[in-house]
Amino acid sequence: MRPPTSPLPPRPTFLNDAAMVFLRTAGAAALLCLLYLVFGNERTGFILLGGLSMAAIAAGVITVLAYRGQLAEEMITAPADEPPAVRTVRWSPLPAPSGTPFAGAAAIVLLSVGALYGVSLTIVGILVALITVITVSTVLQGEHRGRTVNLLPFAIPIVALAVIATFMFLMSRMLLAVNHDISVIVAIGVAILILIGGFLVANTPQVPTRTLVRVGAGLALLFGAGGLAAYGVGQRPEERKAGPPPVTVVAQNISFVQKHLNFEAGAVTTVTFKNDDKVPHNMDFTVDQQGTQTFYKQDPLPGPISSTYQFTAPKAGTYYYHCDVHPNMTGSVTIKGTGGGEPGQAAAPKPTPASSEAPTSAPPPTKAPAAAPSGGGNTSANLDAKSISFVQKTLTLKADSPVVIHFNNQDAGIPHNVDITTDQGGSNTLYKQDPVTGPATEDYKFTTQGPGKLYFHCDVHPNMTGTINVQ
Amino acid sequence: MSVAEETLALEAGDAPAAAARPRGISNVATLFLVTADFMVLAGLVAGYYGVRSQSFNWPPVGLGTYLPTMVALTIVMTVITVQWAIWSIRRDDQRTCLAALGVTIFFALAILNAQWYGLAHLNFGVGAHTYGTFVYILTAFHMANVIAAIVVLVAVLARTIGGEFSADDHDTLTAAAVFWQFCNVAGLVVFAVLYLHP
Amino acid sequence: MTTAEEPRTDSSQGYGALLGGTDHKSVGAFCLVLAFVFLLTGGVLAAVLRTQLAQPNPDVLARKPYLQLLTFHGSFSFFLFLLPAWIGLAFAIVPLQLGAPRLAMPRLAAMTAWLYVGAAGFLVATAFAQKGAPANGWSMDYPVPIHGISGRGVDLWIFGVGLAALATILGAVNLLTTALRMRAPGLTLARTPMFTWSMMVSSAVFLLAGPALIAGLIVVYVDHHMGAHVLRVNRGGDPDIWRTMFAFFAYPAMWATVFPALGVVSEIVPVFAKAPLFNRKAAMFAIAGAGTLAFLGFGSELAGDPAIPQTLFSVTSVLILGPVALVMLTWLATVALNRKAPSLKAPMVQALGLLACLGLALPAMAVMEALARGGAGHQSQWWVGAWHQLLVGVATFGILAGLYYWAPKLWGRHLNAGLGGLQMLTVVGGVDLAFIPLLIVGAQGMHRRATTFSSDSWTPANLVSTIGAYLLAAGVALFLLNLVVCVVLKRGAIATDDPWEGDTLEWATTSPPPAHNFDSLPEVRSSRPVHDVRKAAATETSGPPETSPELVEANA
Repeated sequence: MRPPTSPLPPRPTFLNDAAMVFLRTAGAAALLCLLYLVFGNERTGFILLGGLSMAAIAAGVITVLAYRGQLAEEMITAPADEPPAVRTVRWSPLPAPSGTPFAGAAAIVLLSVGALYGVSLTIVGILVALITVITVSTVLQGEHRGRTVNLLPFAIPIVALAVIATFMFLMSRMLLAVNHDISVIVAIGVAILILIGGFLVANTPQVPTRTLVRVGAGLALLFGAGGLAAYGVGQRPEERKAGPPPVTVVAQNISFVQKHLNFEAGAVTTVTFKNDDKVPHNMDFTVDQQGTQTFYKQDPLPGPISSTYQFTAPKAGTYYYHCDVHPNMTGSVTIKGTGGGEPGQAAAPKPTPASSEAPTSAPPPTKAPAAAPSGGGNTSANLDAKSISFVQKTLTLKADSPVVIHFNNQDAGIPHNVDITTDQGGSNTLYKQDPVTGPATEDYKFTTQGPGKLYFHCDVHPNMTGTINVQ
Repeated sequence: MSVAEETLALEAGDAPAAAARPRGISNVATLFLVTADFMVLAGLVAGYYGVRSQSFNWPPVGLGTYLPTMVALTIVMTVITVQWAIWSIRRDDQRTCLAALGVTIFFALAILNAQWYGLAHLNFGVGAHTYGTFVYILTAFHMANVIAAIVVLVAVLARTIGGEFSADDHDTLTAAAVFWQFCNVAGLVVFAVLYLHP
Repeated sequence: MTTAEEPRTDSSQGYGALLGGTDHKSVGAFCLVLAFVFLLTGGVLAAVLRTQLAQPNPDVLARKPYLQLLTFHGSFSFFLFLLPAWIGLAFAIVPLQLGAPRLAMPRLAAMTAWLYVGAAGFLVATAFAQKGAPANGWSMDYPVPIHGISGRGVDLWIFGVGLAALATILGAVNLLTTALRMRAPGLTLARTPMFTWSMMVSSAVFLLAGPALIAGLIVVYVDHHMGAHVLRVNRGGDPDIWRTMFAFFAYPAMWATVFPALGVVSEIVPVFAKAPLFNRKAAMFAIAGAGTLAFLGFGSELAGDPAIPQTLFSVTSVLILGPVALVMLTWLATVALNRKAPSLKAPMVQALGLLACLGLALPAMAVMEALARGGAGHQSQWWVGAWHQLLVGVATFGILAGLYYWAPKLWGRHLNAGLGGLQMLTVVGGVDLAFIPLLIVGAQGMHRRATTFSSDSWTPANLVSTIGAYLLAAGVALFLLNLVVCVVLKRGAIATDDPWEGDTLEWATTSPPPAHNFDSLPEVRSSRPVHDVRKAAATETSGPPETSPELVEANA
């Protein structure tokens, strides 16, 4: 019988060097940037994903190469004529059952539910997660050292964390109070000081406790005083712009409850718009009382719903707002103070119904070929809905190709959609999107099959119908 | 049948459990987790370039690079400090390792603080435009990873205080460092994508 | 061989340990129970859906409820059946095959199981959501949901699917780490058992593909819940971003549920043919190669998108069929090159059924990927027929076959062989009857998500398909009945330690194994360590030791 020299042969190490990993990941990041530079604007994201799959292969190849030696190697070479031995083995005990796996899963579920139903559940989730992490760490440490561990080592870093967080908060208050450039210098200076301090502490064999206490108390005083003073002074002017409290506007019974608003010129303004009606409403902020020169708006949405309007208030003056669906719902805005540009400068991009036929509804250049290739039909078509009827009753599209229908619902306040079916009965849908409330435009992108006839109707108004000739 | 009845030489000494446990599990597992995490980041970045290619006017709003650059500088500093922790534990210098870990956690909290401040002071909401959406998504993704890494680093700090790691045995410490380095790479990728060359 | 009949109870495991048990076998069984609940649910839903499509213009279901049930069918069957079933079976079997006492991270494994439960909770909760369950299909793109119009159900769906993906990624990390770090001495990667190897490949695929789904879900969540418009065409976004991310997950992941089935049959065939797997190394490389090709072909699910290079993806998605066919050929060669006929015990019968389904599925896939480009094939019932032949006829069938093979080891009870034969015939018949007619109507242009049809010429095929679906449901019910009666109610025949005369290390311990799996381990010198020991024992008793040619061959 061949006595085993070592029960378990040494296992090869496998990339356990942090620097190595860092370099590799950095390489991948560099690759990403390179790809971006090469491909510019042409749907780069998708090409990137393809490139990433290549990276995945490369990673696989690297792993296999790293293990190539092991693939070929015979770890125990025994003469074939000697029968294989069966050895008794003794294992370390299995980890004891505990509630931690369930608690960990519960924490993740609570965080997920919290993302949908409110912050209180998120906080509970965070607490459960923290308790789980602390318990697991204690258990792991106990298993690693072969005996149970007291919780003192965990108390120290948590206290330290609280101290660091306080320090951080005070520090950031100070940085915000002083001038831009000075704050950069201060921040870098403090960072370097911390590095030097840490290095000194680490390399001094014994620091007397008294010195530590004195230094600590001095620092606490310094930062406490500085931080509180900075808090009193407040933030430097340019940081204060975030300022004015959000305004709430409620739409009820086809009318705005708040008919007059006050904003500060140049400030970032947040309006929480609550639509309590079942019908769609929006707020269209305009320069003129007639409501044609929009500087900020969002799409109408059927209620009850709450949406956030956020924009930079233009220069001082009087402005107006109304609902696109119900033009008699109006209100006015007074903007006071200095600052703020011309209306519309800093506003978010918005589709305006007046221009929906021309520039905004033009398909993105890479998405649909502009001209129809050879053959009868087109790859794009316009379809307008007006007065609860489709303006174009017959469309012509190219067969066996991706096509776009530019759907323009011109009926204000009335939802329409296009449900494209293969049968006249309208039950066998080839492609559809959800109804959209006019005035609005939507692009319908789908793929036609062989030549023939397709039918379309509006799901909301079944008597709105039409046909598509696929050629 | 030939059954060799040798009992395996797992001496009942101080730590039989440690002797029988295969080494490097936390390293390998962390490496795989980081791979998965990196793929999430890659997916989000790909989504960003997907919407970017839809727009002629990009970015629709200009963002200041002052705060993000400060964050990126801090990230670069922690790349060194966390590696410093590894180097010192390899020399069995637990004191320096503690200091390096503490400094890393300090910088991590500074990163978190600055990013939170940055997000809170943006002058547009999540739904304002697609660029803004990805500013929020990518920054929040990095912040979530930093929060997780801080928790991990604090746990490792506690175990270092307990005197658990040595030059021969610091797998968990390395694993935590790998995860933190991933957070750094993620932060730098986000910085490059959103601010350097939007 | 000793038959250890003494009771093995480990005080640290058992019912009370379900909450946080660290025994990989009970954690795996937990996942399997959850998976089978949703196999049954998904099957019943499929039968209801097919009832609607049995006749032209019926009024069993209106359009919206049909699409809602279709969404449930897809989400349940993939995210709550196929994924947890394979991860669970691998949790239970992989450490045994590696000669390891446990998984690398036993607590993480238990957490994975509970995450699946959380995912199930979310997905079931969509049924009770405000504005009803989502009706957008399992890929959530029919159409891509819109803020303010589709309700809470979509949000719940996002988190349900996200948790399932997270659980699968964590399970994959656990399995890969176990396979790389915890192999018994002498068990090199080249000697890794085929099931473990295929699970490693699948885990790698899940690890790289799952995060793409999570990234996509983040975007959909921000869009749908917080009112962004990354996926709105007219607001600067593009729904194809989500479609691409989903395809980058779904195509590799669907294939990754097929690979372990190949692994299971590659375990079963050599054992019952009493010969080593023919060209084993080629089979291993084929499975790994298929795993790589699965990433290259993801664009085939996006057929019709003009930004996708169609020809390239046609080629890559046909190429992946090559390695799969190669693995199939190694099984046939293993049986054919061996002079003795294979013993047709219960697992081998199931493997033969799987072989029949796979043989028909491959041409169907090849035609779809190679010829039916431009969205015609991928938007028709052909897609449903071809993919279901793979996902039901191979992936699901593989889980059934694996349980016939390993139930004696895991729970010490055989499944009933007679019932098994009947079930195999029912499932094979069901798969063929249900899905081949779909190819026919698909080729004639019936849409993939058609809720009804009016053409009379499609009636016979659809009727046959509906009958096939019922037959399939009956087959699944027969299997679950078998499992409940034989294992849960303990009516099955008691299994010995090595009932099939197996090759791999799991047969070197007792049935069922103790909590720490092994009291003794044979030396590993080839990919068939238990076979080597059995052979050596036989030569020792029969005559003087001589160089066994088979052993030399295995060592070479």
